[in-house]
Amino acid sequence: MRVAVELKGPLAVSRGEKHIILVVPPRATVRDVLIKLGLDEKHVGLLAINNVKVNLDSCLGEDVNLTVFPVVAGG
Amino acid sequence: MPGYQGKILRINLTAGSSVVEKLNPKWAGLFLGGKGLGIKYLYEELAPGIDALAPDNKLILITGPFTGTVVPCSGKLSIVTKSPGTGTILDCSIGGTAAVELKRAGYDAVIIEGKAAEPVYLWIEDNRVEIKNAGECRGLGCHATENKLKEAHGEDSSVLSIGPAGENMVSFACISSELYRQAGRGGVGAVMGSKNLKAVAVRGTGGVLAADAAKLMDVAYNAFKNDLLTDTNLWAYTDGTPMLVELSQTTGILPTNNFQQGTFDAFNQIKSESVAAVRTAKKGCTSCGLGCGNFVRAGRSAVEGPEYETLSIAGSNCGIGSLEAIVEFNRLCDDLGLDTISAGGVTAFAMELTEKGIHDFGIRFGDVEKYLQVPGLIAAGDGLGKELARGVRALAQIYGGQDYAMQVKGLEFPGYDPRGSWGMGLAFATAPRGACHMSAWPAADEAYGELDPFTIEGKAGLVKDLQHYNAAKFSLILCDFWALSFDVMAEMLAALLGREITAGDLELAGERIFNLARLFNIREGFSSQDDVLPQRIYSQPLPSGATAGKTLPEADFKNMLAQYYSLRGWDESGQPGQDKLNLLGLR
Amino acid sequence: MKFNYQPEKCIGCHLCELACSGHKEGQFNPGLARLQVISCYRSDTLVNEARLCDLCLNCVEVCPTGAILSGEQGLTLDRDQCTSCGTCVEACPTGVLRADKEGFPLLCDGCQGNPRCVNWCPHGALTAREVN
Repeated sequence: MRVAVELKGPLAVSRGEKHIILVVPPRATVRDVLIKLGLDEKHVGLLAINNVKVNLDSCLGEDVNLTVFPVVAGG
Repeated sequence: MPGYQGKILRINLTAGSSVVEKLNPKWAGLFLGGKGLGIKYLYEELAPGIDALAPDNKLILITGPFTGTVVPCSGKLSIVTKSPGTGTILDCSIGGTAAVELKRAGYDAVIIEGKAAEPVYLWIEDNRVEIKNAGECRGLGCHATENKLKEAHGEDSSVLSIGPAGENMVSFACISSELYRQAGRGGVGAVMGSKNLKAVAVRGTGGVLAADAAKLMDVAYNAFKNDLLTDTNLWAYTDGTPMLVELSQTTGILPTNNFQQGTFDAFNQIKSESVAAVRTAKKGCTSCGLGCGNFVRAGRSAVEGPEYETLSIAGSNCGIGSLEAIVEFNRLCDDLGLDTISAGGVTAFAMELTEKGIHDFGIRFGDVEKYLQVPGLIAAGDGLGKELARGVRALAQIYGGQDYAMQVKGLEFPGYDPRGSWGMGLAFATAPRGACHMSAWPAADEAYGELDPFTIEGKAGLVKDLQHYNAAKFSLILCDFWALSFDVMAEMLAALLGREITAGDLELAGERIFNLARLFNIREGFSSQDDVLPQRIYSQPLPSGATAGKTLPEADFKNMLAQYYSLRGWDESGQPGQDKLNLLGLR
Repeated sequence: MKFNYQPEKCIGCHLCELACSGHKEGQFNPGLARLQVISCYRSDTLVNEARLCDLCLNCVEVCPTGAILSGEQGLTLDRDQCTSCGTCVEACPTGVLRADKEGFPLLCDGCQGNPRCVNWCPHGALTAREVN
């Protein structure tokens, strides 16, 4: 399956790229993508597939957009 | 006295006098500094029931133990007074350089009393304290005032000033510094205006001592490298608060059209990437390693900002999707000395009253031209502005629309819809200064995090704990954008003061400070009757996005509030019980 | 040790000065730092400038008593020889050199190869390199 990942803020800066296209096996989860990208879960905040909030165990689908936000504090 | 200068400067504007007093060391131990210590001084010194705009009110500018040290993100100043907008305790913090200059001048705090006969400003340079004529600055915006005083006293001085809004005592006038930093909420600028105090300019040449400077540097450096400058906090540098626009849109809590919706069709135009596209420079306060400030230029207008609260409350909430318009609104408010949250909130409310035919204020959602006239009219008290200057609560009392007057205790809502973040509803209802996002920010854990936002389970405890955390952190004065633990705070404070301090000590201090703020409000006549949300939150479902169909039902809210009182050891009227007060040393 | 400053990366936090004074003087006071960052707040931007010791050695040359010593990492002061005459401060072309309350010049020794100002610079505005 093809997944378009968008990393937000420091996650994109530390990796050096904001938009990444990945090919993952069927039934892959969001957690699998984070592992594949080497992202530490403790730095990851909101996760969204096609702009809808999901969690680490959510399954991806074909051609979805996964947005990974950093954790935030304050406001 | 490591960490503290041990001195308080007391100014009486009526008498035109100043005196230096010893800092109360016992209070400093119990209430830390900043927010907590400021509230303690005000609680002890202010008679109950005074008019917040009368000379009897006091304005306290206060630093924290870390101010002026190498401890990162410690450069903000707390300002504590009784709010003219709400009648509650009010504490704000303001970034920039003022806190460090004040502490370097040798003072932990300045307590300003009375009222000057003519407009004056205060010039503090180490031991030299002068109350000077501010006639030339009368009517000037914050920007011109600051520039003028820096011309007189040097570029390296720091200036806190009010604009025409503060001079005219608009109930949500702010205090400004470094052009774009504000002590924004609750009308601190109006209190300054009521005292005929146009500005405070300060420069210090001294230093701050630690019990063990080398140890403090080691501990703080470890926190700086391995905690602050990590992907947990660096969103504040890469993006700053505009990051929250898309988070709120995705989770359906982005206030839109006076909280009629939780999503905004034009959110792409105001999200972080759109702000970053017009960014020209970054900026941090003294000692800040993050640097959340974004200088932007959109069209003809430039500003340091806009922050999320402005993008949401003065943007989507007014139906405004033009970034250029929001930047200009932001710049106008900053210069005139208005809180962008309350100014945006009252504008949105007037827009809805107009569209619903309740009263025609001649302004509708998305009307950029009228919207940009609002700040100037409010500050001057002209026509429409005279009405809007009253704030949302007073406007609703006169014209109606109580159910969707988005305020608590008279303070307008910040940019989070509690229908999609139920803990945020409890935080707004119980924050000492009214609907406030600085007392606790559970949105990060529920709407933006892993907790279920649509349940009351666990929320009472979450909000209580966050309130203690922020109370302690803002009393030590560390910036809210640094998500550091109590342990790290305690380790740094122990090195600074040279005595053992645990995370538990700080948590207890946070609870003590939060309860003292509550006692202040109770003394002013507030009770559980005031810990409520507008009807819209309870009964009007949101129409779109992740919060479609959602409310925060009143029964759930009341259950959550009852659990919260119980966890706090407060009775049903919201009064702290004797046992709790004894435990906290507040009796 | 030679320093390089990139103003476009500077956010005006002044941690460099706070760290310098904390390390060298045991108190946090930018007025006692061996470098200075000057921040000017404008309506459309923040302008930062830095004054840094660039090891021109003018101070060494003009010192009438030979109290300023130039070593591998930077400058050091022989306090027994220094008469607090202020000649070095006047001769400093960048203006970075200042005197403390007793008149002793606040010389930069590059923290003996571990410059605290660089360590504490959060976004890489200040860097250092070894020089011979």
